[in-house]
Amino acid sequence: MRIRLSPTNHRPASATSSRPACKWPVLAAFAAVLLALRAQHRALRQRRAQARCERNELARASRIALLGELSASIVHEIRQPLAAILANADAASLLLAQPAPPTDVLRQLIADIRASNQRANDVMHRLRALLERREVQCLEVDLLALLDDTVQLLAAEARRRRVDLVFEPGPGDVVVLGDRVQLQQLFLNLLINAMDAMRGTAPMARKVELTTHQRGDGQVEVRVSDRGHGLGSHAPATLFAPFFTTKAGGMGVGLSVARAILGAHHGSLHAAPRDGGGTVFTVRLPSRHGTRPAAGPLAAACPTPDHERPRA
Amino acid sequence: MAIVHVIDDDAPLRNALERLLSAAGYEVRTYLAAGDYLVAPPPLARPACLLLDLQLPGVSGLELQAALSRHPGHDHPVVFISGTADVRSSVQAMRAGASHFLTKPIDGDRLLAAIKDAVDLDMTLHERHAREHQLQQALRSLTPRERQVLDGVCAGRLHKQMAAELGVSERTIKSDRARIMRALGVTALPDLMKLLVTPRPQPGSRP
Repeated sequence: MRIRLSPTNHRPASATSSRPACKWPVLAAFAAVLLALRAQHRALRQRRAQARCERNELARASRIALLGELSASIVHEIRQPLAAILANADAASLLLAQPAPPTDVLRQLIADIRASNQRANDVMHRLRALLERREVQCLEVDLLALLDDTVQLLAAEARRRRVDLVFEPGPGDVVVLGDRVQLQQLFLNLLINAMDAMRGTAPMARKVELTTHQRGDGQVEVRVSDRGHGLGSHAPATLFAPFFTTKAGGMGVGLSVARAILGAHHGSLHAAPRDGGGTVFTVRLPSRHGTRPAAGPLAAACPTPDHERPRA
Repeated sequence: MAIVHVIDDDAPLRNALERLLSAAGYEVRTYLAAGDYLVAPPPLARPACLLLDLQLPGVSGLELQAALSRHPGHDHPVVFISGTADVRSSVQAMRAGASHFLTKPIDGDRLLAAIKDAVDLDMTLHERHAREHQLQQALRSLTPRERQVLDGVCAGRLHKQMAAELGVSERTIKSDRARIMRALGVTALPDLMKLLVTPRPQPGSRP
């Protein structure tokens, strides 16, 4: 920086004069900072994308573990229709060997074979969405249909464990915005936990109740209550800590993933003791009831997987 | 015609089994649950067996099997079918006297072979029971002295000894013995021994 002495006074020229000769270093420094910031921003975006990817993989791993727990009843659900198909086929062989094969019976038999095939197909269809690798989606989800589907998925397992699984939806339609598979995973997790908690309970008393209730504040409340061993001395907060589990052989990720899913859907999850023994898990999600236009959080952006939102 | 009682809560499978067993020449009766079978009136004097699903709602297949001995009219050999190849249940079922244990999906030939075995077993047991009943009746019809003669014959006592003990003639003893043999339906001493000495099956037991 050169200092010029003016001929009329001896004050030095200002350093921020706009004389071209002083501009470039400043501009260069500015540009360097901009580039550095842009590089940093890009790196941050990449790290966030990677974290999102890893979270997605963890959610998927947790889903697969969940389905692993259901494997006995899933196999049973597919075996039943296969057994019906085989018995019908063997019956058809015998009937066709008769001097006057009864065509009415055979027609009905064939229709039954198709129906059994469809039944096995439905089981696999329900599972496929849960097992495949996919991106998180943001769509309108019919929550009551989703819960009904989830209860269907668990019906055979509930029968196997002699648990009375009861679904009592509230009136009307409920629409939430988000990822159907992750939401289903969340409820699967809560319902299986509820059944697990009742392993030591007498068969007559094993009941899990799933209810929905539209709140006035634009949120839907879904409750899963069981009559199991209860929360015991564990503070509700510890339940959601990663790798916390009371199950022998449990991974301990289910509830922490559940909470992350809810966070991304702008919802919340609470656990509390149930009157008369057991536990109630309460899920709250922004929702739209019936055909009323969306308001509040639902109208805003979709599930934000970029950061954990604080529990509402 | 033999009857097969099919107890399975899965409707499509129940219908398919009914078709298969009917086509094979059996009369088939179907039930959704163990309780339904036990309250149905049992048809008399027809060979029968149960085709029982292990996993039933409410009273399980194993529980029903255990309860059969308390319901003589419903007590028939059991063929189990199961959707899970659970070793523990299958062992438990066979120990409790199940005739066969098959896993789903069941091969038609295997199923019909198992049902045939179970029905044959039912007929054998029925005959045995009938003979046992006959024998009991015959024994009850003997007079006290005839009873004593029978015991003596079985113990290998000589006619002369028995005659002396009972204060009758030897000829009386001989005719008593002939009458006893006729009443019991045997013609030779070895058959008499076999009849009275073999362990007799109790109602509801299995070989």
